[in-house]
Amino acid sequence: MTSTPIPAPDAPEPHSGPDPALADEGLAKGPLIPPSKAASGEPMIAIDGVSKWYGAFQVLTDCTTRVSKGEVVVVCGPSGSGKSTLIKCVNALEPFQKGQISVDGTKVKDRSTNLPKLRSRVGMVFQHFELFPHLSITDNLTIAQRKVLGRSGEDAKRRGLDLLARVGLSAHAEKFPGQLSGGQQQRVAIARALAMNPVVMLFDEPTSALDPEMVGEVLDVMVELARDGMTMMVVTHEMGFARKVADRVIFMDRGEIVEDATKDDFFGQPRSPRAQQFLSKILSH
Amino acid sequence: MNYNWNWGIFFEPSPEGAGTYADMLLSGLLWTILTALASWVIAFCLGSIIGVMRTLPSRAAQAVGTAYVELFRNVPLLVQMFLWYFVLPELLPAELGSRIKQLPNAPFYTAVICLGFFTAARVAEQVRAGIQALPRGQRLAGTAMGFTVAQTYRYVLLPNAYRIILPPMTSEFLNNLKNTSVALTIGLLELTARARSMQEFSFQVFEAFTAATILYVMINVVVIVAATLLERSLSIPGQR
Repeated sequence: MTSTPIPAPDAPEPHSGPDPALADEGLAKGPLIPPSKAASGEPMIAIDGVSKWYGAFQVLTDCTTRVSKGEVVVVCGPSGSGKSTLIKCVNALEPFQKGQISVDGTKVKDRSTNLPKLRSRVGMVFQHFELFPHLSITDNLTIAQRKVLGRSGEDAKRRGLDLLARVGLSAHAEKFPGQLSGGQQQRVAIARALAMNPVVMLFDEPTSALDPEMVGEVLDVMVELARDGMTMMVVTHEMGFARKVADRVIFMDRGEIVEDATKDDFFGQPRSPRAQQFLSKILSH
Repeated sequence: MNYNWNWGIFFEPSPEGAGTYADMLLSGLLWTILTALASWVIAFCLGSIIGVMRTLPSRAAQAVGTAYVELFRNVPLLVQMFLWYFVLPELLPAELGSRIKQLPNAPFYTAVICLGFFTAARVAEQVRAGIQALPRGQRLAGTAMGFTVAQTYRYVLLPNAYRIILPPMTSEFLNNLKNTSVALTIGLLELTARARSMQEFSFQVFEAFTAATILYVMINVVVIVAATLLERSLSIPGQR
């Protein structure tokens, strides 16, 4: 990937308004990561004792973890272990019955929380891209900026096209999602999430639905984003990605967080037998 | 068969006084079109609301939507027509009821409302099917972007759902158009009623109903052509 470098996250940012990126003349050069309440190193996402049931079936059991500002946390585990469900709880796409989650100091499970507003500050990338098929790429990038953040069409378009350039797809601005390859669609989906100036990015198996030769281009964008200091929680089976950029790895099994360790500890000396087994299977080929 | 064919009958004066039999049929055609369009407006708007309600997270909204659909699609249209026209005014306070009965064009208003409510139940099912045919992730993606429920429907779900259901909605529109003929039973002088009275006055049953048949087919062909053009103009590049 040879796109323009993304400015450092800790660039001086004097504004404290709801949308600092717009206050700048040079929106295209504006910071990718907006200021948050959390100082560097403080928890951006705090998950405390979260349990969730589908009827009588418990899908999450007492999950607790922290994601600090600027940290990249990879969540892995066998299918059905609850990892996707857990990150969907972070922006309240999935309700949970017990425990609490805070995102940048805002409680997710609280009647007084404005959930649409909270969600607009949390970027999410889905396994199946979920671009809006009836809208052009440009409109996909701008619609939520206009309708949720209230940006003008012009500002939204400028920011959208800038991000499209950063994921290397400027030539496709007027196309429709159905005309792009899976890898291209997923890069647009990442740009769409970034256009909202999120303080956190959640990735739900972003490369699982891609043809093998397209996995690389999406991971490249994610690696670059991680290096720019974005706080990221990534559900993935791409252990290469985890080794490259993760700060921590969470291993889940049957709805529980079995292992929550630094990358080196996780790959070097996983404590639980279940994680050892998983790693030996996934890394053996 | 002993039958006196007379295709010139259309140009003979009708016993109504002014105009020919052809004029009579054409005025019936006009009422048919007017009733179909007016009732479709109700059916489309109400049906969309009910269809959306059946897909909302709220149990109460789902229950109301389901109750509506089951009520209006499980009672025959003819019975509904009679209920609206003969029974409802009797159930209202006497003064209001008799005022409704004396409305000029009462059969027309009644037919529009009755057909609108009846077809709305069918439209609602199409809308629900269209929304449920979309990948679940579309709703999640809209929600995750920070859209409210209403915005998710307005900007994400409905534009896609309507495109999916355009072909069956065309069928519903055509059904609605043909169902206007049931309104002859409450005295609406639409195309079928006019063909019948032409037959009664002139005894030219074959000519009268041949003409009515051709007119129905013609307007339906116009609708189908319009729907095809609409479908083409709404098609999304790169899909299918």
